Amino acid sequence: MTDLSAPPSPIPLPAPLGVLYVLKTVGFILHVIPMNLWCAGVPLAVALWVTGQRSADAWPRRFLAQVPFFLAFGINAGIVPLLFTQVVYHHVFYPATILMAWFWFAVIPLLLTAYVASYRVADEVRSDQARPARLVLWSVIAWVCLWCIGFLFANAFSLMVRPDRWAHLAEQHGSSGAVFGTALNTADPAMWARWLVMLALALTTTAWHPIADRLLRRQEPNDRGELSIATVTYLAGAMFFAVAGTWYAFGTWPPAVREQMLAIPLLPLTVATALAPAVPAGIVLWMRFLSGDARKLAWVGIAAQAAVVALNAISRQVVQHLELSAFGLIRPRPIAFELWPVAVFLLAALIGGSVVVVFLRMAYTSWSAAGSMTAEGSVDTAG
Amino acid sequence: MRYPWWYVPFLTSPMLIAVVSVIHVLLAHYAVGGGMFLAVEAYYAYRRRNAPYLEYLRKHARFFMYVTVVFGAVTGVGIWWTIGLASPLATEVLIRTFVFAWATEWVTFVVELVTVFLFAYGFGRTAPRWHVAFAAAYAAAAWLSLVIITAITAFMLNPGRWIETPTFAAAFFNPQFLPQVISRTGGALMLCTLYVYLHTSFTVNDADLRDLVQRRSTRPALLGAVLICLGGLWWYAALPASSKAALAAASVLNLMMVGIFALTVVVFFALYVGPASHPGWLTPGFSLLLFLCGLAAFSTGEFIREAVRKPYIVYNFVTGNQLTIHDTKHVRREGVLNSYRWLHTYVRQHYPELIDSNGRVLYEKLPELAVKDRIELGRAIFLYCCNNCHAEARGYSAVGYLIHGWNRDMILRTIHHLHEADFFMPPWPGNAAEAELLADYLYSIAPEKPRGMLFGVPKEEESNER
Ligand code: HEC
Repeated sequence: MTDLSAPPSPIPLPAPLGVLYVLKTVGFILHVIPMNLWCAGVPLAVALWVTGQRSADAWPRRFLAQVPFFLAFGINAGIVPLLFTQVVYHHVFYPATILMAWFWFAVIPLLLTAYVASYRVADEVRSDQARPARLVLWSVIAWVCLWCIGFLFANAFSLMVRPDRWAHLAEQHGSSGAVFGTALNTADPAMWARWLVMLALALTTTAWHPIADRLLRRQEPNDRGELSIATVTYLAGAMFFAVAGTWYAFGTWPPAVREQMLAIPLLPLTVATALAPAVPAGIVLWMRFLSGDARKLAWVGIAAQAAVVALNAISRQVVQHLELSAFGLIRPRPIAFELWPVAVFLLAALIGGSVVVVFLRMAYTSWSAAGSMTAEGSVDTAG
Repeated sequence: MRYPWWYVPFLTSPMLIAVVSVIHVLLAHYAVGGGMFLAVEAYYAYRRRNAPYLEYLRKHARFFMYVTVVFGAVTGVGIWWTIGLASPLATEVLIRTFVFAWATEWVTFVVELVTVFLFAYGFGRTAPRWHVAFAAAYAAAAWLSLVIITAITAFMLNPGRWIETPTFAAAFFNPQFLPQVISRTGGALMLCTLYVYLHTSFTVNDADLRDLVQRRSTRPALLGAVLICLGGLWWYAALPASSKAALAAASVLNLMMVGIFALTVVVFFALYVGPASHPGWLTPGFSLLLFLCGLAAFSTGEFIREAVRKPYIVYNFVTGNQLTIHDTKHVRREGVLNSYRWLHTYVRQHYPELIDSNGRVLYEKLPELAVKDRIELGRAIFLYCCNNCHAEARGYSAVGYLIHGWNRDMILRTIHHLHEADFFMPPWPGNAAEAELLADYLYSIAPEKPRGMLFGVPKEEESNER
């Protein structure tokens, strides 16, 4: 096999690889949480709404009203891992996405459609007379678009670590040495396994939304209805995760990667990632049997779920690194590290973060007095 | 070319970048100017306790949020998507050079998102002081994001000192940075007013309120027009010589350039004699007309910004055929078919007889190939070396139109002297044998000279050999 990855970049790495990996992974964690919510939450909420949970206070309506926010922040957070992916893996990321260029490009119209549809759904559930047909129609449109986007990401990121497939795909989907951009990585079982693992993880994250939503409204999270949604969703997600994850690790990892992931020093990470969902599962079950105030426990459960997501993101980064190493595609590169741009970034993050926190706290306290987060405000010049 | 080439028939893949960017620019400048508008006007409305105006701002904020958060943000991501696909080397160079600028810009996006939601949903339940603070923070963050991204686009046109001293500071504070920040800030102010007019004329029925909006938002637009012109002149002064020459040489660009200034002046006077001093001018027709003038000026501006960079994507560093200037030397020595990995793989798969035991192309065997195969290889070379800027027989700047009636000799000579034939083009990156292949291909698609043209010279003296 000839090396089809791009030759070393004319520009040195702007920071040591490890630093870039950390930023990439942190960004990915921030992205996965809202992404999980929209992937699993939209179909789940619509299904529950259809089966009759329609009151204004019921979880499906509250969730659907919030989807546009999740999309906004999820897309926003997605910028970070994608930025750092292009910094560290440009030599494999661009070839893979160019092979599937039209599909990759289709992410943009799909996203716009999903976005518009999610606003439609949100407007619909907020109005007093939600029209069921429209609500379901727009929800299904959003859902299909979002799953397609997930599918395309799974394609791009699995194709990126399989340079041995590129020549064949270029041959099938190209002419005179150029490519049409119509290839997909569907022949690679790892693509399907990745996609399923992500959907399973999405269910487990979404399970915590009904509980978090009650906590943020200063309500006792031990509501029977919402806790049932959480429990059933979590357990289903965790089982699905176990099946898809087993297939992914034992059926699709290249032998060299599997060997390393199952040996010291990486074995504890692998085991922790695989077993982590048991902790939030235990907590959600415990909450059902707790008779007193469950707030503290609920927060612990949410933190545990964040850890599940984080472990997945870290393992993902490690596996990606090993997969590319197996093809000799992680090579030492010159580094030209300048401190001050990083310092400016960190300072901006500090200032921006503080502003955001102060504003959100302010809005949270004054708005909860005035009405719910998603209700329409009317104009009042007093104050 | 270090990457596979994405072949988009007729349009060429880099033109997709132009399409997406123009759409995005029309939204993104509004996202900046609109933030300033909402902050200043919310402050004014609260001070004057003007409830109808606040109600108008509430509606406008919703519209603004929808347009910028959904369409502005996603088309912004869209530009990034398209440049990675159609111009991967330049994207790689920009991303590695500016990664922490982009990371900082991301922070401004987070602030923008949070504050635009807080502002748009905060009417009627937020203390005025805080409510105005949300909008002000939004405006500041949005303007900072303009400053950061402008540094990056300005860098492509003239990286200045960075070529010799490749530091972040040299890249960021390039000669085009300030002029473009000024003109883009002006553009944001002007475009915002045009959006406000459009929105108001279609949604506000109350004449007094309409006049108020009109009065309040005309002055920023006038300021914007002045900034656009000042920034534009400075922009021109800070252009590299090749870009100035490009502007002078290409009559289309020339016309467009004059067009932008003319449109800006037209909008300026339309505003000045119109809404600035005459209440009641703000009809849907008038505002739509102004809006379209604004869009035209903006789209042309972006188009020119892209066009005058030729033959470079990043001036003096990445050429339009996706090579760094250092690559070019190497590629010319080794040959395109040897040094472009994807082309080389293609040759190996289809013409194994052309590859020697060291995996190198046997150039001396090329003349023995059948004509059909020479044309095929010539096309492959065309796609990797020329399709960045030229479609094939038909389409965007199609080479077919450019070589109408040329004979093979003229074609071959032009290939060898590409950057001398037209300084919009980078030098021919291949070797002599490859030039012959490309000439075979181009000759095969060159349309014949239109028939029936007489010049009074004997037929055999006409150079067309067909
Ligand atoms: C960076 C962009 C770019 C690249 C790459 C490029 N060209 Fe051009 N080329 C141009 C532009 C711009 C013109 C002027 C077009 C016009 O006047 O309409 C031009 C003009 C031409 C002309 C007409 C010249 C004349 O004297 O009338 C020919 C022939 C041509 N190009 C062939 C090629 C071939 C063959 C290649 C590939 C080896 C190539 N170009 C690569 C941008 C490019």
